Amino acid sequence: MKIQNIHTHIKIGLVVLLLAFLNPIDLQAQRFSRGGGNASRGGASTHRSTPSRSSNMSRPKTTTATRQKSSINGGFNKSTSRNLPKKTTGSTSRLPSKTNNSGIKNKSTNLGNKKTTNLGNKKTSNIKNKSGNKINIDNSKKNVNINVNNSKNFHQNNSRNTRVNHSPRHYNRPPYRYGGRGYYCHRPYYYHPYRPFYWGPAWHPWGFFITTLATTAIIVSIENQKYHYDNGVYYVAENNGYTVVQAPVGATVQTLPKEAETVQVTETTNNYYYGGAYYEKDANGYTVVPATAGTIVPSLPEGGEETKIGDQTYVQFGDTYYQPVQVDGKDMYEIVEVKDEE
Amino acid sequence: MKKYITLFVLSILPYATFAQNEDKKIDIDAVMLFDQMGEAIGELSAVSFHLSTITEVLDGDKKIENKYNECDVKMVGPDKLSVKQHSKDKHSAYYYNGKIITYYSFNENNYITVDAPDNIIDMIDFMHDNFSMDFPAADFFYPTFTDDIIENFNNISYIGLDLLGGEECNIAQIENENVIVKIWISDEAHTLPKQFEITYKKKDNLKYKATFSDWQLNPEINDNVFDFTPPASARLISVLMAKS
Repeated sequence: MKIQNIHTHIKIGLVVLLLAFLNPIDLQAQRFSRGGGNASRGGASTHRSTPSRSSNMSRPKTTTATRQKSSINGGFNKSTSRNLPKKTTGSTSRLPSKTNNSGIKNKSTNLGNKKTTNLGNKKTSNIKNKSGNKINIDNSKKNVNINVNNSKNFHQNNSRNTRVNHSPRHYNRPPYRYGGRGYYCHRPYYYHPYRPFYWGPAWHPWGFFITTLATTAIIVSIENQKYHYDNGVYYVAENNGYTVVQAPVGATVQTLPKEAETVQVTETTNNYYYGGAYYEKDANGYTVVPATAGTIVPSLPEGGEETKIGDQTYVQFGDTYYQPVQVDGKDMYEIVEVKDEE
Repeated sequence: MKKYITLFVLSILPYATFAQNEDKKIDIDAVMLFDQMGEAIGELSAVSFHLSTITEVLDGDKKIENKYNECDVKMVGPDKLSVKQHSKDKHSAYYYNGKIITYYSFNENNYITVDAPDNIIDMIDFMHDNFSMDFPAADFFYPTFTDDIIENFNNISYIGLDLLGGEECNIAQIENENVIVKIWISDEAHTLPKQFEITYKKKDNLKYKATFSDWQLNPEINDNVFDFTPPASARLISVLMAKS
């Protein structure tokens, strides 16, 4: 029986050897075209496109004997249910024999200095989901519990004003991709820290509270909401005073502060920009409009939040993301067009 | 020479020892090799190493361009990890102390810090799942490395011995529909990974190659290496989750 097995193997070997000589390209092609299933865990590289393993895939049963608590990975686990071939009688392992599997020996290399530090930094980052809501992650269960933080109501009240119109220009650059979304910009990412701009003594950031309005303030009503407008700033009455809110889309005013700038939306269209709000001019005055993706602005007001998105850092106002860019040597921001992608 | 002739003859034997299970071809020698490496890594209570990576990308003219990255990794079991990585465009670090993990960008002088699971492996999964953040060569440190390979690859083969950087290495290759991964594992004193190369079959066969060096096994590493102290003017910022 053994002799018959050996003869069979020799025959198989000779056939394979013959095939290899006859058509090596086909053999290689066949090997490369085979495959299937998921690729390995994404941790194999820092390359973003490395395929990753789904976290909820079924895992084989593993030996649970001795989990080494101090091991860097809890100790090697080997499935007890592997369906592997047994070595054929007569065939020997091609692995070089080792007297010791690992050969690991302790070394007393000392890395780092001995002084102990007191970790005083316990403040953690705000974690946000795609809707812009702050969330808490229960990392013990790997579940995500959405906990919307409404502490900054002026953001929520004016969320409609953070909607972004599509860019009328074609994007020649590929988007930055993260989490199933593409972040499109006409200009390259050029990081500079977010430093809110101050437009002058008459200007106030969103959320600012005052008890009395200037006599120059006028009333603007949009969708049954009454706003008070003064020098490029919009207020709503509350708590026996007035709170600064984002400029309401659709509001029309006759004048803008002299610090208002023109920003280019398309080759033929400009917006007026002041205090983080965008205006279109027509015969009736200046009307607040949504931001248009691709528009470059020189500065941003308070109220934004620097947010790490993959490797890049954007400034986020509600649904509006601003990418830091550089134009003619000056630090500026481009409004990002965010698209859901496969 | 005799050695190479022997290897050539042996190279036809896998056809007799490959498993034919659900269209999988599994070379038991490769599996044994991965087990040896997994056991070696699982015995470590601390480790540090250097990783040099080359990532091929296509430039605007569809020509292959190499991106180089250097990483220094330190781990203390079960819950401490630091990674410092430096490339032409990116200089960043991770600090994980068993409670929180910080990702710091030297280029931007900003950082994110989030609560993290209480061991290295869960933390790596957590960061990958929630923030698409990957750690260099993380696959090799999973306790189920071999089983993961068997589950996710259809072709697992042992290639043979060869010299790499003056060190004798066993070479194995794994393949599925997306990638081909060639792995060099040291055959010298320590059965540790020396190099791996990923070929992305559906992405113009672009390659990613990573080479390990400067392995230090069970070194004494002080805890402060894993704690992040923000540099002057560094800013704590928010972070967006990768999934909804």
